[in-house]
Amino acid sequence: MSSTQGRMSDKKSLVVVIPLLLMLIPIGYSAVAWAMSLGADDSELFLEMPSGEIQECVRETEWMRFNHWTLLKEARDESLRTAGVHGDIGLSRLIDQNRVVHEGERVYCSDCHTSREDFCQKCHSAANVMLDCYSCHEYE
Amino acid sequence: MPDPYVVRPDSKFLGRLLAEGGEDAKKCFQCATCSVVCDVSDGGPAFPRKEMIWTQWGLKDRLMADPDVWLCHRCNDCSTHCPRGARPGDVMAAVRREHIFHYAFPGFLARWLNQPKLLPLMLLIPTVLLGLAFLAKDSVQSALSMSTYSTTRIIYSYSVWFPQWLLIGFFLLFSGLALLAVLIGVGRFWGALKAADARDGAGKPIKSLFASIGSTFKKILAHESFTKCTTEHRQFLPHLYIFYGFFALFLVSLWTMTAKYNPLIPGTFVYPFSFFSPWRMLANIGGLALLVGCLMMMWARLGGVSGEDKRTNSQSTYFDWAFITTLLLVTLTGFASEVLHYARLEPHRHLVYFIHLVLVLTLLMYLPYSKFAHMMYRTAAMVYADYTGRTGVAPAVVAAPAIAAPVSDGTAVDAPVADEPAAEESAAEAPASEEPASVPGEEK
Repeated sequence: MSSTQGRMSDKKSLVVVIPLLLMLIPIGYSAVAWAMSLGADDSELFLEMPSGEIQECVRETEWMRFNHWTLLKEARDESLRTAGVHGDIGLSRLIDQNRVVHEGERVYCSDCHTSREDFCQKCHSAANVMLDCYSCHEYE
Repeated sequence: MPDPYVVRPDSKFLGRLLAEGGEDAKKCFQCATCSVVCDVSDGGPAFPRKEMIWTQWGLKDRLMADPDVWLCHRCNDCSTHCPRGARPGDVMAAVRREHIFHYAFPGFLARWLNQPKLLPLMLLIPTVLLGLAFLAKDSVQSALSMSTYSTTRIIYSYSVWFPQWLLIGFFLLFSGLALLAVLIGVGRFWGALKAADARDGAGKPIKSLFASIGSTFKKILAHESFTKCTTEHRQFLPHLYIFYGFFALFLVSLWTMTAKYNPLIPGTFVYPFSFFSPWRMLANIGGLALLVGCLMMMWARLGGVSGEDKRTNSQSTYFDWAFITTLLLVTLTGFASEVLHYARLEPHRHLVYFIHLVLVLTLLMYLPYSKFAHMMYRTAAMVYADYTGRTGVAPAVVAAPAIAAPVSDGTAVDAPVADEPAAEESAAEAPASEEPASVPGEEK
């Protein structure tokens, strides 16, 4: 009987300890991440600000932040469907349809956001969202 | 001397018990094998013997003020050993269901929810509510002149259809309403327990309520009552998986809800968590635990565990299936929207996410009226039992009412468990070994 009870109490502590430990891991991780961020320099911006004098994008900045993939997808579909007519398939054409014109010149993404790593990749890395546009297209 | 107890059989109530789960209750001849073999009923007023005769007689007032039905964790040791096949385990489950119906506020919702023919309506209500919230989203946003997107911290909603503020507000509102309703129900239940004990001169607190709540939570966390069942352990693991899986997901939900303000989530980009973020891993592990637990429970309900011995197999009702199925569907749609999200299938992922949200809302808003309420009622009953010294050390408080003739045998059936000192109880013990000659409320 005593051996049964001993086994039972071991089991009892395990069933509480294992799940609670599993739940403590993320809490501990957050606490450590927070503690480490305390001394960090937060003056550096998460996303690179557009360089140059052009301060407006094809849409409002906030809209772009949450919907850029929709815009890109729609533009991609549009580009493919009308390719036979216009002859040109590519990211440049895609951007062309939503272009920003500054002093008569067409402006590309890279004209403002110079580094793809500092612009696209920042959020995509943070959220673990694979970014495969540039496995075929050139960033311009 | 307490007032004489007037026996008031409730034939409608009896009919409900006999119709769903308790149909073998009439076979009981009060031999007390069930109470003796029950390892959970140890040291306090014994069960399920007394519940069997209360059921046979349709004594709704007794059964509705009985915390012991909730101390039972349905291991079916009693049903397995019952020489008459009266299945006390199923009777206890049927009484527990009646508790939830009886104390539900508002009561009609419990009655509606548990009619299979009203299932489409009950699913339509959360669908419409969430659909309306979705439609009203833009006008509410402009009326409150809220910014569509957060600027200080980057939070991507899981679905562009449902911004974070909408989900938080909507689900907090309905969880709050459900919590309020279930607290009213549990408050009524607690009052009934106290009133019944007061009538019998029992139920004096033996420790502080706070201490009882603490020790009950410890018991629940360790699943102590499940491990007491000696012949059957099959409820232990599935319930453990579901319990902690749900707990983990609840924790992750709290964390993501506060993402906008939580200082423990540092940085500008706070949501969604990456796949290898400890929070997402916890959510995925919790979801898996929930999935495995649900499947194990369903397998057991389908008789996959008991094998040849059908006595150990619980009867399953609509009430049981509705809850476990909703939980399983919540888990499956949750994983499905995660997978579709990775597969970037739009609008599929938004649609599946909508279904997932409707099911989560179904689970939460019907908490007080579904089997989910066991979480609150069982906890309350366990706290009450601990608080009044009903369980644990013998001699326990014995509710031995004075009984009006001619049915003085049989209702004072708090049979002492064989290995407990029972000098005080034996005076109240009636030799209830024969089947009552006439049972009120015979019609089904």
